[in-house]
Amino acid sequence: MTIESIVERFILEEILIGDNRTKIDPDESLVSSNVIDSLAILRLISFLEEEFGIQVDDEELVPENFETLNEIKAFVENKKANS
Amino acid sequence: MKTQVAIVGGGPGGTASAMFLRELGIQSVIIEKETFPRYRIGESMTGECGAIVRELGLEDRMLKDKHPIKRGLTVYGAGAKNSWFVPVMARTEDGKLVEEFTWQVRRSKFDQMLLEEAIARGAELVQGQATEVLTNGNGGVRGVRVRMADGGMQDIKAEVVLDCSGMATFLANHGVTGPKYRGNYDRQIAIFSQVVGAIRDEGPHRDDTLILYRRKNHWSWFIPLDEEVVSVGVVVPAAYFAEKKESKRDFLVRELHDLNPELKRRIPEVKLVEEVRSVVNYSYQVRQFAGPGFICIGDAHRFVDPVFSFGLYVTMKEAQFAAQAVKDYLEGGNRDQPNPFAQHIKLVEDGYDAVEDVVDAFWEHPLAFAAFTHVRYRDEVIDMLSGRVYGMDEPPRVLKAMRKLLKRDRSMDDGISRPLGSSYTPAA
Repeated sequence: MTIESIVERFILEEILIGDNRTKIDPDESLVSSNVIDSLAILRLISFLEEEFGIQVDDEELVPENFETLNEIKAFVENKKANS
Repeated sequence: MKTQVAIVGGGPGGTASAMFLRELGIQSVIIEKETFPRYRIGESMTGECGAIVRELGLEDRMLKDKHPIKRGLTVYGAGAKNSWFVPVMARTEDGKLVEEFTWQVRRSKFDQMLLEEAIARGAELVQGQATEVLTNGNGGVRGVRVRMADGGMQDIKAEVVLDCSGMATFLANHGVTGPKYRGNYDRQIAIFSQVVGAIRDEGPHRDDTLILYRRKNHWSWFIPLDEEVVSVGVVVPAAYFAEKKESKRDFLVRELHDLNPELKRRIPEVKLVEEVRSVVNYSYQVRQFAGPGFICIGDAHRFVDPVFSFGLYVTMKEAQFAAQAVKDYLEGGNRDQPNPFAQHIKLVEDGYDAVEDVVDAFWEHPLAFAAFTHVRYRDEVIDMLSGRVYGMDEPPRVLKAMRKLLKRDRSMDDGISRPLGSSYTPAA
């Protein structure tokens, strides 16, 4: 499975439960649109750290890194490449 | 009239100063222009503010006066999709975090109690308004001129003047201090009143502070003042208020229903029991706010933003610090220094800088702030919001992280804090 599909599944199953959605567009705004609220983003970040073995630094806790599935994928790939 | 310390202003800064000075055996005169009780905003205490009240031996009086008990702060996110809670906690002597409570205060009652206590403990009250600063040949302050209630003038000579005039910033306005710089929140307006019939939670948290968020720099407070009355305030950019073209009253009533669904749920019908008032341009910083013969306390030199209720605490804590600094000064300490209160300035500014960084991080970096509060640095956030921001040898990790996000290094100019959000430029 690709990074973005793993993340999509987590968001659909763990965060947007009960929303009856089956898909998230890779460029769909997640954060600034408040589709997922800030506490849910924290859960997503914990998931990314565990699932992909990365550590999100304090200065990386900015909405831009998690705005869309594409941005999340780029962020994770970058972290993995530099670890 | 001659005294050791002349205190301009009989609010919590002035009265706490008088009481702490009295503990150190120093006499003071409080100059206050209004008759008490009088209305004031700034109604929530941090945990450490409660500790100061206890240190002054006033806990029994606070309980007797039935000021509401605050055990923490709950923040409701935009659209009330989530909320998070930060408890008020104290540190034991061996450094453990333990639950503690502090108070919400109806200021008219609280300030009057403090003034009565200060007088009972020996401070003298002069009913009048300070109009001029008396200086000696070297520019050092040696007292104030007061217009008395009957219109007559009186000079009050003192070895030290404590400016506790609040937002009136008396000494700054009289050119005694360095310049006053605008702060980051100087284009905000706070519009506030009190309501009855608001819904509170049941149980031990029923009188906690609530902060309700609409968007950045647009929020409301909900602070119980007694069994029935809740103080409510809406804080927004002044430009937003201006473009609504509403009266303050209409603005407040509408915002209480529009700002956040949780606020609307708790105040289904807005029943105001107090005038609707406002404060603007509340964010500023005065440099060189202490020097030969004078110290400015609390709002008289600096204010950032009300969101975390630091104002009343900072004022009373600075009063405590100033009393000790005054004692050292009266005993001849630091008289050979260019500024005898340089250490006091640094202690106060370092603490206030930390407050400003926490407030700015909350507004500018809400995601990181949530992560720090919930996951990464919960104890440190609890410490900071409880008020433990002074005299830190090393900034806590959370503060360092916030400064990194804010891209500020808190470097000093002339050994004191560099104002932000202003046109300040350091001397070449």
